Amino acid sequence: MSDDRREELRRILQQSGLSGRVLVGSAAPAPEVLPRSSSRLVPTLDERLGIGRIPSRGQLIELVGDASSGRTALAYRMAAGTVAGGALAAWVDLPNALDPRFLRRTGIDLRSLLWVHPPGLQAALKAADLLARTGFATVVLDLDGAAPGALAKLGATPWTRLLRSARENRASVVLLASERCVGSAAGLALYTERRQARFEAGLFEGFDACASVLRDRARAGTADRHALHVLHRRE
Amino acid sequence: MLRAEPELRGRPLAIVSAHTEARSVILAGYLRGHALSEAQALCPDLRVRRLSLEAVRSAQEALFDVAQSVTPRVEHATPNSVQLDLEGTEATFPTTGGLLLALETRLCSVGLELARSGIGPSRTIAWLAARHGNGGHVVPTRRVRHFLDPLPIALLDPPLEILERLTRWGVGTLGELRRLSGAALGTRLGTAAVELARRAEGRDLIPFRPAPPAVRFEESVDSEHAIDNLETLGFVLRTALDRLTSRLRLRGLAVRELWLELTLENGEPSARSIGLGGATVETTSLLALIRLSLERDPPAAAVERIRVVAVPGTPEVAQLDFFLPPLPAPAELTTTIARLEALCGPGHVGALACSDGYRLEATSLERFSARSPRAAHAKPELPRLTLALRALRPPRGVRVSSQNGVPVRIELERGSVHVVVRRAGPWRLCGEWWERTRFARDYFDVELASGGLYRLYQDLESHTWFLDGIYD
Repeated sequence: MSDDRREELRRILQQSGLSGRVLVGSAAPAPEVLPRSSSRLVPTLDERLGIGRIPSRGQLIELVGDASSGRTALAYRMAAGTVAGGALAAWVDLPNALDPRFLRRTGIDLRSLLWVHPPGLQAALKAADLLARTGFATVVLDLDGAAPGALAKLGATPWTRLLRSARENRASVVLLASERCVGSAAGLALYTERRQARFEAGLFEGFDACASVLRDRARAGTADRHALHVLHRRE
Repeated sequence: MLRAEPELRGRPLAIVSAHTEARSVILAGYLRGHALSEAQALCPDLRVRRLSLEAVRSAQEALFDVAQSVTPRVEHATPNSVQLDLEGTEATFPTTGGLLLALETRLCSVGLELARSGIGPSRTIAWLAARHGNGGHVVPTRRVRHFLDPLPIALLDPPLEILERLTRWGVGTLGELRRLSGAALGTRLGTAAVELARRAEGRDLIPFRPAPPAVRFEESVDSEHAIDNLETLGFVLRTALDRLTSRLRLRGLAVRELWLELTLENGEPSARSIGLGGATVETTSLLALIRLSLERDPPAAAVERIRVVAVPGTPEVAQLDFFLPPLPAPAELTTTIARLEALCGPGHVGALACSDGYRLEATSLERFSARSPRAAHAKPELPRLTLALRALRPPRGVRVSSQNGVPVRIELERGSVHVVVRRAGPWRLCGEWWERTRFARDYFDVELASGGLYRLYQDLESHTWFLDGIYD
């Protein structure tokens, strides 16, 4: 099959929603199908995060950054992408900070996102582990409300256990925190920082941010930055 | 009793009305009819248990459940026996051996034993087939006479005076009774004898009346001693839940609603509902939820009697989709949600939804649905990157310096003042003015010089400021 025909077939599959499930190629090891062209050396942020019907790879993803830097918006997008693809997504919400009104604007069906509000850090980790083992494709673990130093005291054991559960079940566990704590167990670590807020005509319209890849085990040596345009979409 | 304490099986056991009194008569079990003191003298290893009507009732219900797992047409015959209409069950149980084996296995799973059984073309014949000898007889239609004729009349439990009269006449078997004229019997011995003669032919006197299916399942445990700690209570509850879920599994059902009813040492009842995420038969999850409830709100006194009541529901099933990723089995998902509820508490697991109200912070919890109906269309619509709000629940009160009602400086923490560099607003939100909970607020979106984009509002009644959320 020529490259042109392959590209054409990929385009058709993408339009019909099968791009994540049908691999285009020869009998040789199948290449990973990405929603956009993967011919570029630097993958897009969606490709890195697995947004857009790419099968989960079974890894821990760290989204760290200061407040108002866009990490929660990225997690929204990941959860919404998983649900749109027909897989299960869950949100373990330690700080009880998930706002359904804003989450709904991503287009997600809220009934298909399992929300869990654990009473403490250990319960949050247990809940995430249980969800990953059950078959949830994306588990967002929001630990932003954890007590200062509590995450550092955990050590590597809980993350190793969580990584094992994620790998065995091909789940993506997305950790939301203000600073890195997973260490080498993370398959992907992104640091988000806000650049500029958008106030237009007396309205707050969102902000521009930047996501820096701190670690990507699958694509070593491709540390780069991605621009984020986080926009306020009103209902 | 053996259902609750299976370790007593094979040991000398006496059931008494009140084991504290030495004069109590043994009602069932070892040395039945003897005084307790006498029995204890004869057998020092004798285990004594008090008669529990609750346990007897639970055993009767379990027996009925096992019967209903074979056929829906089941009638209570005596307190410890049931009659099954096996018409139409040939497809499931082609042989009687297979049927009896299934019954034995299922009875064993709920802690009961098959004492006697009999199969026949009528209920009377089946009853006689169970009572004759060691039971277990299967009487086909063509061999009814051959089976009935040699049986003694006493097997039909006739009135004593009729039995004596018939014995004096030299009539001792059902065959001999059948050969007597019904009219002559009626003239001499009355209608009771006529009915006896009909039963001797294997006929049923009253029609079959199947009992309706149970709308709730109960298991009870009467503790010998009052239980005053949760560990022991959990142990007792586990056995009760095991029996309950075994009964439900037999019927292809799951626990949809669960209640725990306790009778305390001081005689007061204590009942509580255990919230479940969905229908489940996982004992571990149910026990964890009950434990959580008991830990949160322990009983006021030691517990003497435990009753677990379950409203049955149909276990969820799902059809796999050819074009969508596979999901976990509904039962597995329900169990996970139940475990999460046990871990996090009720009301902390589900699908978060926007409340139908005027307050921006109002949310509600709905039932989680594994697959969105929209996903079935499989339209590849990439989700948008939209602004997120990290809500502060409850809203945090802050000190704000304002000019003309517009915030210019915010004190997020004591001594930590942040200058507002840009802002949007206000937009006013008011509602519930017809209630005491009425509110009126002016909302602002602000950017602080130190970084951070916040949503805050001023309560127009108290003129206090609250931080509502952080944009992220």
